[in-house]
Amino acid sequence: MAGRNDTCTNRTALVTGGSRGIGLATAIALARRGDNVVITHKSELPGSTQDLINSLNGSSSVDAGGKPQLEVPKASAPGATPGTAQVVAPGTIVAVQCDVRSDDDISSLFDHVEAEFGYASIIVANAGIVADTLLLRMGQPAWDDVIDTNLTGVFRILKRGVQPMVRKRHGKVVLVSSVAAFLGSPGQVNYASAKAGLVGMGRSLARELAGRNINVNIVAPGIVNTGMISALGEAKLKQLVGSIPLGRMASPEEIAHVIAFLTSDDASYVTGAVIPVDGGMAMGL
Amino acid sequence: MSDDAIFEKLSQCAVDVLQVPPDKVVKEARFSDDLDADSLDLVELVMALEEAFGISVDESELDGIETVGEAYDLVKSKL
Repeated sequence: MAGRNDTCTNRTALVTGGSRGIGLATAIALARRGDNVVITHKSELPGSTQDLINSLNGSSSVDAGGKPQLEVPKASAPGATPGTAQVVAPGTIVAVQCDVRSDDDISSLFDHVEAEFGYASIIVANAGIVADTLLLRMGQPAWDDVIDTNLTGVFRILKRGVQPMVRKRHGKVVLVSSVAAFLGSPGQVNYASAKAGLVGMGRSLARELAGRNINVNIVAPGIVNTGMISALGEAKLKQLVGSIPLGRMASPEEIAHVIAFLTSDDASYVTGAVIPVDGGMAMGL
Repeated sequence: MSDDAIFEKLSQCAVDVLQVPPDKVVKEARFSDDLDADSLDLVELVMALEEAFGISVDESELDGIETVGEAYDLVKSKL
C-alpha cells in the first residue's frame, strides 16, 4: 500500500503559523509519522512550544518524559494494522521566525529550508490572524492586515514554495480555510473574505499544478479549541457550539489528522477538494 | 557570448525543462506542437532562461513567442 511507504520516507513539510493551535498540532502529527517539519512563527516562540519541540526532537519514543505533551495518537499512520505497529523514526521539528507579509522573511525561510532539508514537498498554509469587528467599525488597517496575512501571505508562500515542487514533479499543498468562508461570520468580514479567497486560490492552483503531480486541497475547520477563539467571548462561543451537530468544539489534533491524511500518499487522488472539519456545522454549504 | 553559445545554452535549458531530445530543439520548433510544452512548461522554461542568462523577462514580452527561434531572439536581445 502506498500509504505504508509514505510514512517511512523522510519528507520535509513546511507549516506556517506552527507555534500553536492547528499549526502546532499538524507539525507534531507530521513529525510523528517521520516527516521533518519546519514551522514558522511570527512572534516569539512560546516557551511551552519550545519545550515541546525539544522533547519531541530529543526522544525517539512517544513518551516525552513528563514534558508538556499534546495529545496526538500514534495510530495516525495510515494503513497501519493494529498489532503490527511499525517503528517510524520521528522527524525533526525546526522553528523559523517568518512574517508571511514579508518577502524577505519568506525568501530566507526557503533558503533555510532548502539548505537544511533539500526542499519542502509538503506545505501547509496555516498562518492566520483575526481582527474582529463589525464592518461599520472596521478600519482599513484591520481589513488590510487580515487580508495581507491570511490571503496574500499564502500567495507569497506558495509562489516561492511551489517552484521546487514543480521541478520535482511532486508535492502536497493544504490551505487552511475556515467554516466562516461558507457560513459567514458577523464581525469577521475581513477574515471570512480571506478564508473564502483561499478556496478559489486552492482550486485554481489545483488545476494549474495537477499535471505536475501536485495535490492542492483546502481544509475548512469549524470551531477549534485554540487561542483564536478566546476573542469570541463565552456567550458567543456557547451559541456557536450549540449550532454544531457534534455538540462540541474540535481539538487542534482533529484538524491535524485530516491535514496529515491530505498530505499523505493515501490521498493521492484528492485534489481541489474542500474538506470541512467542523463537526457538521456547515454541512451542505 | 557567441550566437552559437547562446543557442547551445538555451537548447540545454529546453532539454532539461521540457525533457525533449536535443535534436528536436531547432529554431523552427514550435513549443506547443513540436515540443509538447504546456503553459506551465513555458513558465518553467522562462524561469530557467532567466537564471541561466541572468536576464529578466516581463510577462508582456512573452506574447507571440511560439518557436525556439523567437525565444532565442528574445534572449539575445537582452544580453
